[in-house]
Parts: sequence; structure tokens; C-alpha cells
Amino acid sequence: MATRAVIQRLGSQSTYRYGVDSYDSTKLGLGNLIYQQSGSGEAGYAGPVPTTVARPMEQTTTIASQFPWAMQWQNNAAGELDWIFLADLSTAAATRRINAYTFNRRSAVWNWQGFVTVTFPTATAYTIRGFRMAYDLEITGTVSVSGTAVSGTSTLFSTNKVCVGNRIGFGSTDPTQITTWYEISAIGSDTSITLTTTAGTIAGGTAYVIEDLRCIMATTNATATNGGLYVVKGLNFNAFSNVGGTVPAATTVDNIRACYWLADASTVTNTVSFGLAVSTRTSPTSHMVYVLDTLANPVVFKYNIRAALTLTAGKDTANGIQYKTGSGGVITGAPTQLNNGRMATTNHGPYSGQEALYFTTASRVYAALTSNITSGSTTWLSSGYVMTEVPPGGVNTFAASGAMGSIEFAAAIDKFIIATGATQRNYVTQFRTDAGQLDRIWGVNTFQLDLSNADATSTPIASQTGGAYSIWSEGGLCYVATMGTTSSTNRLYALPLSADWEYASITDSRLVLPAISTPEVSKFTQFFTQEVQVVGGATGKNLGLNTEPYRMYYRTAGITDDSGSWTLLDSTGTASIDGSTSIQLMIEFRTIGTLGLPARICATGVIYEDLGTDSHYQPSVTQSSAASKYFAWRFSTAFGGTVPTMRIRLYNAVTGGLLLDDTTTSSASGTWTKSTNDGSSYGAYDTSDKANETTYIRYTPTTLGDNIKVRALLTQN
Amino acid sequence: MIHIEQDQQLKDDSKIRAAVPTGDYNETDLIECYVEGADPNIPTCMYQAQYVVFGGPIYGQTEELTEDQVAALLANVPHDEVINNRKLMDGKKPAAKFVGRVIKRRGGPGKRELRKDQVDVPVEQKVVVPQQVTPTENVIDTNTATSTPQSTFSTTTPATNVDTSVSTSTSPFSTTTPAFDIPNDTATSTNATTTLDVPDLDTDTSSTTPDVIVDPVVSSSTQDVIDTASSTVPVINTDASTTTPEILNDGVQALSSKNPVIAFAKKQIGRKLGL
Repeated sequence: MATRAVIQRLGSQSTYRYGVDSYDSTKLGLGNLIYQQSGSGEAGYAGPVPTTVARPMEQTTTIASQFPWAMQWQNNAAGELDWIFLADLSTAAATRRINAYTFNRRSAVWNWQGFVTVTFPTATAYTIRGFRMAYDLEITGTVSVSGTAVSGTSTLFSTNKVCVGNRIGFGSTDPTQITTWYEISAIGSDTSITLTTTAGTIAGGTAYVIEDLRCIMATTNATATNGGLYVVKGLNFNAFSNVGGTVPAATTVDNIRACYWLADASTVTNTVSFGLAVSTRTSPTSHMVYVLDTLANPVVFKYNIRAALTLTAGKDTANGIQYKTGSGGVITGAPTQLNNGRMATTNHGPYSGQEALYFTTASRVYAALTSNITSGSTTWLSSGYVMTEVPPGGVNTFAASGAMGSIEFAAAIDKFIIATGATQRNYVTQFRTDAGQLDRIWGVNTFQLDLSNADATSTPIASQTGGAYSIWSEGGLCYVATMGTTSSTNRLYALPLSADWEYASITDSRLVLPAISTPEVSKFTQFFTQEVQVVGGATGKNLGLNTEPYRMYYRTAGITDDSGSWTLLDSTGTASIDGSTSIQLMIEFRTIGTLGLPARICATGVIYEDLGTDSHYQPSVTQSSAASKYFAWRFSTAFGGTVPTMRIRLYNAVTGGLLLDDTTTSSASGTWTKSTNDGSSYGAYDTSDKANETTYIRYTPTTLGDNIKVRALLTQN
Repeated sequence: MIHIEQDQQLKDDSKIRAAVPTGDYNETDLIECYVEGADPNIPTCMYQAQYVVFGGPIYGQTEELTEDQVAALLANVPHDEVINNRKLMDGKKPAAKFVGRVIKRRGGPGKRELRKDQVDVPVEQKVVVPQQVTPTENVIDTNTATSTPQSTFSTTTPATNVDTSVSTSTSPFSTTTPAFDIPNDTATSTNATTTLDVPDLDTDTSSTTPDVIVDPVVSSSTQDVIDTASSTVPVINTDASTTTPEILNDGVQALSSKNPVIAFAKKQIGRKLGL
């Protein structure tokens, strides 16, 4: 038996998307949020999407940005591209800017798309208290095109509220397949639209796709009654540019690129918004938004952002507003006005399977069933549930922040993410009403600035330096914008929170390695990994940081079809596993932690003993005897401890047939003896390690036939 | 102030034209616009006056345009030499002197109000607050008003109900601030009026203890209305078709001690204080 090792270097493996693409045991499976950096040395690794940073205050147009909202615009074999939009954090003004980025999950690269400046229908100063985007596709029917004229067949352009300013592409209903987009300049009817530029000639029956992109903003205003809900219609991603697009205020015309005021009354009473929540769109004419208002005794205003509006100076007072509730009851702790509120349908908690509105106060999380948020209701809140802030480990482990500021639902892991202040920790947790502890704690202020001109050996970390988190989770990726107004304090991160090992069983956020072929294996004895231990500088100023932990599993069955179950290895990586023709490794990562810097695995491997003589022994011809029918080995290499149980198998060397199988601990078919004096004498066998160069062991079968060519194999058991 | 001609093309979009009457407008006024070739009487959108004239580059700057910047842009200095140029920004006065309004194609521009958060108080108008004057604090938190980014948490106090840069404190001086309601004689509007407010005294909300609390919004029931028919105050005719809108005295002019409005205000305040 000889020791063999197989090493897999992860930066050079062919990959596939585990859980999405067809399973392939010959390639490196990248589960959800798992990433491969191709390369050699430490530059080649695999692990959760690495922490990267974008810097809104360092773009050519600086815009302090907050309240991220993200969507997975592309998620297919060709790529994974997210769109991220952010609200203006700068000093309140009559215009507000919306910032846009893309994030490529495959390459972990940010790209600043640009911004648009929104002109509101009043010229007083606005502060954004709640921010969302809405993205819907219109693909009904087919079209033909002649120049700038688009004619539809069974299309519903007007009915389905397509807007001037949206973009349209031809040839597919999948926007990621569109190579050329055209902007809509007019909508004539359900079957007629006009483009700003010619699209040439396209035959009838052609599929198309229109991206209906809107922005939803709950605001307060220097003139209180100018606050409330505003909706920007007619956006398209190309309108965002690094020199800035501009959205005008609406006048009397609906469904064009403009900013609309969905007032709750002629004199607005929705003046103290502290956040909003958006329901799932139920039809092209129904998409409900719930605005939280009044800090001490909240009221909810319900709006339909796809209602047909009747406008005066951009203001609708009767169609967008559906109703307002009464005061729902006194709450404990004050809510912040920092994008508070989230609609969620959880798979746990008291509202499992039901859509409910969740929002935070400094010390509580409240939940109200959407169906209870009715006109004039004064019980919509008091009839709901409340969760108290009890940090993981209890208040003797971490003090309660008393500063819970906003809440986000991470559907990928069926958990809420709660942001606190700039100097407190944040949470990932279930919603519970039993006064129990929240699940996980994460995030910290390291005081690191992550400026672009920072020392090159530092590595980005989602520190709360200078500002609390504002968060959005999409497809498991958590986008975090720190709420500061300078380049040092306003940063944007993408964090693979949902890739945490605690939730890997439901997220498939795993690194599944290619099967390792192990010919002539006898026993697997050791598993190992090599990871980047310090990301960034490991010498000099030592600005590099250590990563979060990971854990490794193996399986020896069900490899070819992904049916085998996994067995967790401990940190030693040692094992004594019966051999099989192949073995497969899998790694899970912790990503919710203090620093949250995901591990980077460069290589993995397995060590096993093959079916040759165990590497600690050498067959001895002189100490063996065909005539006397015993077999001897010199003890050549010490084990470093107690000798493990050894096993002997005698084969018919001609036929390969097994003649005998015995072990040192259960020697039913023969006798083990040991010599420490170069074979001069043999005594009882023991498990003492090699003592000198004249140590031998010998096995004498009780019976063994004559005239057989025998192959003796000594291995570990 | 920014001059806009009716039917003027937008700087950045030649297909959009201003629908409003020719005149000088506050930088942040919202100007009704229409699509070229469409009915000008059905404006489809509103842009800020400064955007109409200067285009999108002005939004590349987070801070408001200053007087110096507007002057430079009007002098055709390239925008990249003006926008975000700290020399033209630091310590300079914001260009927009008035609260922005919606400027419609039809109808008068309505009441013009000086911005409370931008008005500077001339030294000679500083008034020491008499000790007996204790404003009735009816203030709705101004911490997150127009001069303060909202990046801080308010976790212990239900603060910031409303964004407002203006205290609603009452003051015995509130009735001393005159205003001039001037009939609007525009042909297209029969009921619109233009009000020229006197600059308010120290309404800078960044100061936690203002020297004097003056109700910046004078109620029509208490203000000293001067009948323009008999006063010497310049009558302001907003009919752009017939006059140059003299209303567009900017704040600098209004603050001149020679300004009859200021003189009147000083006189009134002095009388109240027994000076």
C-alpha cells in the first residue's frame, strides 16, 4: 500500500452552475453566489462572490446614494447581471437624482451606468423616505415595424400602461436577447406606438419586449403638503448615463416619462412618510404600494401606481390613492425614516405563506397582514405581531442596539435582514414573536474607508464607517449602501450573505468539486484545502484581512448523478474511509460574520492509501518463507503513534482470487508476530510504533494450500 | 433670474419647447413645456427654468447653482468650467432667490415668495430679541430640512415629522412685516396676484437660537397691505406680453437699504422696539 495524493486547483477548473445547469461531476460546480476566479497562485480560487465596492462619490458625477434596490436583469447561461438603483442622499432639493449601477455576478465587477435627475411637480425641497423601482415586461402579441412606426397584432400597449420613454426590442420576449433597443416616443393606441429612431423594417408576427421601468418614491417635503408618493414613469435603463438624463415633472398627460404625484387628497395628508412597501403586481393596471406614515401612531396609505391618472400640474388626487387606514396603534420605539418597511411572504413565522407588511422601530419589528390594511382600519397594526430585539446570544452577549433602522426580506433564505446604526451590529433573522433571540449578527465598523486611492494592499470590507447600512437583498446577494455623504462614508457593496453555510441546504450555495478518480484505492486518510489566508497585504503594514471560515464534505457514492449524501469532515481533515473508485468534495462557506469576507479556496485534495503494500512496510524476502508459508515485512516508516489496525489479504496470484483476509485485531485465519532484532526471534504482535531498523512483522496463516502462487497484500484496515 | 422666451427650445432637447410666456424666471421655477409640433396649449412636462436654459450639466452638481455660476453660464462660460467649480460656489449665494413655482402657459405665475432658507439678513436689520419675546415653539423638527443631509438616525425620538426649513414660531413681529399684494393685470388671469414679500429677518434655520423670530409667512389677515393704487411701491405687472416683469427684482436688490420695502420694514421694526 502506497500513499497517493490528488490535488485539484480550483482556479483552472472548467465550471458549470450547480443547481441551474445540468449536473456534471467532471467540472467544478458553482452553486448560487459561488464564484470562480480563474488564474494561478492565489489569483486562482473559488468561493462566494468576493466583497467588492462601488464608490458613488468618486464617479464623474458625485451623488451620495442610499436605499439600494436591485434586480437580476440577466440570470441565464450567458451571464448574471444585476441592475442596482439608488436614491439621492444629498441635501433636500426640488430635484432628486436616481443613480444606477450594474453588478456582474460572474466577474464581481461593478459598472456605473449613470443617473437621471427627476424634476418633481412642485419646486420645493424633497427628501426621499422610501425608494423602490418597478420593472415589468410587456410582451403581449406581436408586431411589425416600418421605420419609427410599430404596428401591433393583439398587442395592448395602452391598456397595459406602456409609457413613452420605455424601451422596446424586437425578435424576442427575453430582454437579455435584445441587441438593439429603441425608445418609445408616442403611444397611439393598443396597436400603435412610435419610436424615436427608426428600427428599419421588421416583418409582422415578430415577438417584442418592452421594459416598463418605474421609480417609486415616498417623500417628505419642506412644504409638508407637497410630500407623499411620487412615481416616475417611462424610464429605461439607457436613460441613465454618466452625464445624466433628466426626467421632467408631469403636467396633465399620463404615461409618459415624467414624475407624477399620487396625492392622497387635494391637500396631502401623507406628509410624514417613513417608508414604503410594494406588493406583487397583480395586473398591468394594478400594482399596490403601501406608504407608512406618522411616526408615533402609524397610518398606511395605499396607492395603485398603475392606475390611470387624472392630472393637474402632475398631481392626481383621486385615482392613485386607494385609501388610508386609521392610526394602527401606538408603537414601541421610534421608526426611522430611512426606507423603512418591506412587504414579504415568508415561509416561517406567524404569517407564513401570507403577504404582510414588516417595518422596524428602534427596538421592535412589526408585522401587519396586508389583508388587514383596509380603509380606515384602526386595528391593522394592533392585530398584527411584534418581534423584540434580542441579539444572538442574548443581551449579555451583545447589547441590543436600540437602533434598528430598516428591514429587508431575503427571500433566498427566508430571513429578514435588519440594519441598525453606524455603531451597532446588524441582524439576519427569522421573524419570531416569542421574545427569543435573533438568529445571526453581522457587520462592524472597522473604520476602513475603501477609497479608490487607498493602499493597494487593503481589501474592501463592508464597514459601517461613517454611515449605517441601507440594504436590499436580491437573488441572495445583499447590496449595502452606507449612508454618508462623502467619498469616505458613502460606499456601495455587494455581499453574498445568503451564501452562508447555515442556509446552503436551501440555497445550493455550495462549491461542488469535480469527482476525484482514485484507482487502486484502499482507504482515504486525509483531506485538505489551501485557501487565501489573508486577502490583501500579509506583510509590511499588514492591511490584509482574514476570511470567514468554510467547511468541507465528501461523498463516495451517488457521484455521477448527484444523488449521494454528503458527510461533513472535521477541521483535521483526517479520515479512515473505505476506498471507492472515486470521491467527491463539497465546500460550504460562512458569509454572515464580523468581517463577512468570504473564503477563497485555491486547492483541495485527498490523500489515500492504494492497494499496494502499506507505505510503512516493505516486503521482506529473507524473512518470508514459501516452504513454511509465512509472509514478512520490514517496518520501514514509523506511523508517529500507535500502529493502526493492519490487514492482510492473500490472493491467488494467477487467478486473483482471494484466499484469505485477516486483520491484526481480529486474526481469525492466522497468527501475527513481531521481531525487533532483525528476525532473530519473533514474539507477540503489538501496536507499538517502529523502534529500530530491524523491526519486522510476520503473518502465518493457519492453513494454506500447497502449490499456489500467492500475492500477499498488507494494508491498513 | 433666468430669461426664457416663449417657444424657446430646451438647451438639451431641441424637440421640447417652453410653453410659458416670455419672461424672467426664478432658477427653480417649473416651466411648462411642449413637444415641438404638438399643441403648445397642451404642455406635457415641466422642467426647471435653469435646465431649460443651461441643460443637463447643471445636475452634475449636488449643490444649488450660485449667483456667480449663473452669471458665468449666462456669459457662455463652458459648463465644465462652471459646474462644481468651488471658486464659484464656496461662500456664494444661491442663485434662486424665490421659492420655486409652477409656471403655466396660461394663468399668472401666482405669489412669489422669497426662500426662507436662503435669505441673508443685512447687518443693519439685525434685531436683538427682546427678553420678553419667547417664541411659542410650535416647531416641527427642522433637523432634516433643506440644509441637512438625512444621513443620521433618529432612533430615540420620533423626530422629523416634516421637512421644513421654516419655523412656525409665532412672533410679535409677525405683523410688522409688510407685503404688497399687487393686482395682476394680465389679460389671461383674473384672480392671480403677485406678492412681493419683504426679505425675512434671520430665518436661517441652521441657527438654533435665532436672534429674532419672525413669522416668515405673513397671513393675509394681518399684513399691512398697501394698496398699490395709491402707494409709491412699484406696481408689478406680470403680463409678459406688455412689460418687462419688474417683479423680478432679485434678492440682492431687495436687500438694499435704499429699497423702499426694506426702509419700511426697518421703520416698522424700529417702532416696535421703541427705537
